[in-house]
Amino acid sequence: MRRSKRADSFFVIWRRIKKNRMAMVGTFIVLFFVVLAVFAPWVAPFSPTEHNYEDSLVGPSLKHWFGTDIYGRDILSRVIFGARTSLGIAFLAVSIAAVSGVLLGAIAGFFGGFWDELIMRFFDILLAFPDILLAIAIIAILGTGWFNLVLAIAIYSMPQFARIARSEVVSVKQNEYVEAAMALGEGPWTRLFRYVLPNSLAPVIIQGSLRMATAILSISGLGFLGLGVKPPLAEWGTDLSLARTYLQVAPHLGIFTGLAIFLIVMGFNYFGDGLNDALNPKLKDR
Amino acid sequence: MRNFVVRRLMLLIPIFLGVSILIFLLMHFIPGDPARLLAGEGATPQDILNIRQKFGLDQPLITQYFLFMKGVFTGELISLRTEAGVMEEILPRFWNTIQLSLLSILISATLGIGLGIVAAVKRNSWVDNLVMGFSLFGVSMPVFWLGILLILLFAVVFDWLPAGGKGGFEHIILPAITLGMATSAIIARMTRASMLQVLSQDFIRTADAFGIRRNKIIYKYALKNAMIPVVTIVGIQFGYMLGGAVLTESVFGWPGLGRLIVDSIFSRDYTVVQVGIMVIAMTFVFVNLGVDITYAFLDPRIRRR
Repeated sequence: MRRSKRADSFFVIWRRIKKNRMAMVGTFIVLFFVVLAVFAPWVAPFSPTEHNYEDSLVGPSLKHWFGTDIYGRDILSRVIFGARTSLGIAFLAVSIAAVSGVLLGAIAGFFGGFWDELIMRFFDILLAFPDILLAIAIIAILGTGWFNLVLAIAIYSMPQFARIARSEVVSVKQNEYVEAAMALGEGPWTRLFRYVLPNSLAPVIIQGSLRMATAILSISGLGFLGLGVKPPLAEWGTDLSLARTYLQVAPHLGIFTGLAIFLIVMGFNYFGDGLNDALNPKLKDR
Repeated sequence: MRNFVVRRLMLLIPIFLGVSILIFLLMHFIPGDPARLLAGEGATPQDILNIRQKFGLDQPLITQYFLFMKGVFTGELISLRTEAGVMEEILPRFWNTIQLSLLSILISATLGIGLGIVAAVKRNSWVDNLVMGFSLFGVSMPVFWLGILLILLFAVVFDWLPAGGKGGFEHIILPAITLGMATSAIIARMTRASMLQVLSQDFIRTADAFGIRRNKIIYKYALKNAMIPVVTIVGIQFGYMLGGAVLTESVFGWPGLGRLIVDSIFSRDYTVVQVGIMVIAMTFVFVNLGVDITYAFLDPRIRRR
């Protein structure tokens, strides 16, 4: 019975998303990049890491659609493999941030008192670091590399999830069905995980989609600063940083990689906005 | 009002302590011995011992924290690379970041508030769609890519503006636009939402029924009320710019504090990294405090909470 209800609500949301043109554009863009990332070795025409100095800094042509970089590497192939790096790291980081942030935020909101103060004041400290700076500070300690990047982005994304989960849990826990569960003798953890948390997740899911966009921007931003994944792994921000050096002689380097970042970030933003409209129809005009 | 300000100032103390402890601990999580790092390659065990004593690294952790904080406030802390005072290194660079952020916020607030008002007044028209489209475009645009495109267009193709560095006013134009793009998009969205909310309220309908001119209603009555959350978002965004400017600074070679911090990470100049991050974080906290106080000043209901 419960499963069919869940399936029903999924179809209701999907129908609302389908009606929203922007959300559909976002879904399509995100799916397109996910497919590229999963099937990268079969889709990419060349190896993303192989140097070929004879073809260095060649402009777009039939052989190399997006041209080549200073090492003669095919940019189209690096864009395709770069999707793998960005989406993989962003997905891992956002998942870690969502699970741990929601858990801590939910505990703070549900139990209140000492735990609430402790957890939320800790997140206030993390929130005192603007934007990408906290990630930079974490990379400064841990060093570069993809796993450290995952941790850095997960840590600085966590407070947002915790705040949203906390405020949702605080309002959902006042519902009568939660009181009814308590009257039936259900313990606090059961009430939290079975009744409160599942009904507090809608804004978390929206936040997850929007956070994917921010995470991808941060990954490429850190890559651009030289604090991202280690070369020769294909990564968009690192490639754009290289492009900046050769902009005068090879302007094509600055176009396609940036376009890929822009498109996928826009895809997640459109999707998140559409999801927001579908889950909170009342807020549509805000 | 005074009570509110005092209460908010008191809240700063735990945040300040937390931030400074977290940043101080950074140094201790870094793999390897800081004294060895300071002494450089080829140092004798005696050199390392001397450095450990000189910087108080042989003291208990809590003493080291107080020594670090004393160093920050008295300006005694020195850069490991240049051996100049850390503050002497940081302050001129921080001033450059502030200049860039101020011009950026000026551009983005003017553009964002203007577009937001037009979109709200012409709701559901093509103008509204265009503004909302611009807004999503702005927040999706990676700053470093926008910077590269602007350099390509205005420095490489047209040769109108310099591609980077710091000099006359023409050097700050492209970085300021780049840094302000995403912010103007956010401000436009916020202004539109806030205006729509105010325009749907009873007092606007009453003003309308009295036959007051539409322009007067929009610009005199609605705008004043709609600006309260917008002022907040402008302030918060200014705080974000101080930290987020690092990418713009890197694209344009603008000698700001963010760039200094990243360069110092590469040269392992950890005192500059620590103090630089602390300066930005604390300014961010103070800017947010300023925003809260302005908000309470504009909206008396907040003070009572």
